[in-house]
Amino acid sequence: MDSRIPAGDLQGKWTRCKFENKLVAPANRKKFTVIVVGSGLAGASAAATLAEQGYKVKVFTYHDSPRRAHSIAAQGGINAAKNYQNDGDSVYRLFYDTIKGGDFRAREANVYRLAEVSASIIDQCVAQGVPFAREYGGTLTNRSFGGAQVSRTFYARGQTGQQLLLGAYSALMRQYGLKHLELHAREEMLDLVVVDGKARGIVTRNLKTGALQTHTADAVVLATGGYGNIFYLSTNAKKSNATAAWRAYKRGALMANPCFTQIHPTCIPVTGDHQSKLTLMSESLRNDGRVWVPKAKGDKRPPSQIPVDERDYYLERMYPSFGNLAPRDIASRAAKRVCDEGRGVGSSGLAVYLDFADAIRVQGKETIETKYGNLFAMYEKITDENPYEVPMRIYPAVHYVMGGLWVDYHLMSNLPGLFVLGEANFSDHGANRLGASALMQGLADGYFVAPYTIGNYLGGTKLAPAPLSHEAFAGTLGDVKARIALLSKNKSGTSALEFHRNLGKILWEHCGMARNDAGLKKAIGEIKTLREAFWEDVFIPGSETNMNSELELAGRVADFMELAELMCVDALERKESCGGHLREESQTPEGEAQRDDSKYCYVAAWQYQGEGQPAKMHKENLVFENVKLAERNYK
Amino acid sequence: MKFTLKIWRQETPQSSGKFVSYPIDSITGDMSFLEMLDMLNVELVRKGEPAVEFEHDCREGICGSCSLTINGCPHGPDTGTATCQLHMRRFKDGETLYIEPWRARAFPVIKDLV
Ligand SMILES: Cc1cc2nc3c(=O)[nH]c(=O)nc-3n(C[C@H](O)[C@H](O)[C@H](O)COP(=O)(O)OP(=O)(O)OC[C@H]3O[C@@H](n4cnc5c(N)ncnc54)[C@H](O)[C@@H]3O)c2cc1C
Ligand code: FES
Repeated sequence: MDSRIPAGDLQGKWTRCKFENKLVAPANRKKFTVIVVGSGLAGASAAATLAEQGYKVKVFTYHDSPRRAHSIAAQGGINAAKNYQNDGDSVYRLFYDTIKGGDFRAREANVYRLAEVSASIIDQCVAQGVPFAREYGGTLTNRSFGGAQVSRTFYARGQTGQQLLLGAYSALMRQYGLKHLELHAREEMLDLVVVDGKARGIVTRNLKTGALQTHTADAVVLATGGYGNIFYLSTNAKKSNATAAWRAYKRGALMANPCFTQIHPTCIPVTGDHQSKLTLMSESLRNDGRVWVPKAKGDKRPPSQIPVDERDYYLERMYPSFGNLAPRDIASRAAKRVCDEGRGVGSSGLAVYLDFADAIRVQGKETIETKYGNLFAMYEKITDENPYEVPMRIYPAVHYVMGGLWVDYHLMSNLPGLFVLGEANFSDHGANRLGASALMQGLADGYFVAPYTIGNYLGGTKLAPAPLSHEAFAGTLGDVKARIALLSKNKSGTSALEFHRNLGKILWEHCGMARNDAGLKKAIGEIKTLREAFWEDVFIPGSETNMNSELELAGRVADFMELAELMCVDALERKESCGGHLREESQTPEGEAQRDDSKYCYVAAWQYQGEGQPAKMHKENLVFENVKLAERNYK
Repeated sequence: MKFTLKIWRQETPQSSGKFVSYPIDSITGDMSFLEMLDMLNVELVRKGEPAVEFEHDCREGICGSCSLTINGCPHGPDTGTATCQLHMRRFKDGETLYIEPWRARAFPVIKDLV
């Protein structure tokens, strides 16, 4: 495992790396084919750029159109170190905030590069016509996100992801129009083809006809998003899944820090067992909303009747310098703590208030409506309550995974030729991601990093031809067929949805906001039992050779069942707390995460060892040459 | 709440479809329309019957995947609201709901409601 971090000073690493990269001459690029799986921000931006450079690109997505990718749901904004507000921002500060926000569990070199290219992303998107919010005079405006004391978040109302994706999608479709790129919509990647130790192709299933197909290439890019949906209830789109990443893992790619999950503090609380997803209320709302609970336990008065001096604005009290914009992991844990104390609100007692009354009084309803109108409307539709009049009720929910496939500085997996971009990799956010940094990372990877590093790989690697007639393609296709047959063997039973829901409950209880030794061991046992029950009893009516979403779901849930166990094993092994990973055994007296740098300052990269065998852990030690490892303090 | 669902079932793009009636019970007002269909599908699978195919993903009204023509209106009775954001509290207990795919020549039916 070589992270291939360029030598020399931090500031010059990326420049030197680009200079030292091998190049492919423009006329030769059309000789190389690159498969891109995923058309979210990371995939669409990479595919469009690679095609523009002249490579032959094939894009795959299980959606009917690239622009349905989960990135479209991103609400609040995208960070960039432009320092438009003149409030002291810089590349170095964005780098530092991200390293600290991630609780010192990310690579310095990757994070610095991310901060360095961030400003170009905004220019690129503006050039595409992305309608970022502007000041009256026409300049781009910013708002603040958690974990930062500067305003560096660019946004398009509460629909930033949608607008950015439309930009990337336009760039993608332009290349499609020019016939530089093939687009395979409604095709799901079900396995990775490895030839002579290198990633050389994929096996896909056409979701309309059920047809299985193999595809060959010189490099494979996975930009398949995160696996937070493993918890069943999460803010992710319902189809988000781990299959592409998990299949790559089972073909030899390392999986890094799988237990690092982000639980977002501001989501609409659960109302019942029927619920299929949790809706995020963007972190940007904490610019103006104030979080509070009653001071007294079990105070059931309506919020308007609780006088101000009987309210506990606990984030402002505990973290005065960041206040309501404390980072996500910290704000989520604080919410859990006050609810555990019996001070939660709403009928379940599992909620806190996010109150806009003061902001509306000072700024007027109209201003608040311009900033957050769509979010307020969404809240009202779901809860039937008007947040302009009564405070929102919110509770933490699973939102994002920092864990993912291991990649080196070039965003290449340990499997040569396999590149992993966006939320699917583990690279930049350590143990906790700061708000508005996922969009930044996805677009940095796709527009500004992978197009250089993939060129370097193609230019500098001897690649033997890998025709579809190679036995590896037939072999992998056979494995996929056997797996579908195994999933379809039961003649009656239970929908995969029910297994998924039960898996989510186990994970949320034992591998969610707080984890401990006994709970994790229990979860591992429960997951194994559930997995056995799944294979015994999962039933898929309908046919394999036709559209069949029960079959699609069952395949994804089967992979979740295996990944869930690895998440618990990883969480069990990391006995320290860091970022979103809170081990109850390792807390400060105030209940904050207590890191143990002497033992755990590493990336845990897991290697598949065969069916039924425990995965093997490799450690990538994290070296901090520029920042000092410090206690993460937001007080 | 209880409803009678009349759902368009069509096996393939070539085959002809028809409405099939499904009674459904224990629906709460907080459920979204798609959560009601989830519940129906779980019951159908348990009875060994093919689940109803419908399109969805984000379930927060932004991706544009969900569709459905409900009682003749695309995305149901509310304007500016995608089906995934429609909640059962909008309907009266005991109502009959006609659920069919959006019919347009440019978007032929693939299966059931897709
Ligand atoms: C509600 C919500 C709001 C958010 N708001 C913000 C925000 O304001 N700011 C921010 O920075 N981040 C935000 N995030 C996080 C951010 O949106 C995601 O991390 C990011 O969009 C992920 O982008 P991606 O390109 O990596 O993957 P995705 O957008 O998830 O795309 C994955 C793609 O891969 C395809 N795919 C996956 N598996 C397969 C397969 N096996 N075969 C074929 N295709 C496959 C899918 O079809 C899709 O095209 C938010 C997340 C959520 C859930
Ligand atoms: S499921 Fe995305 S808009 Fe309805």
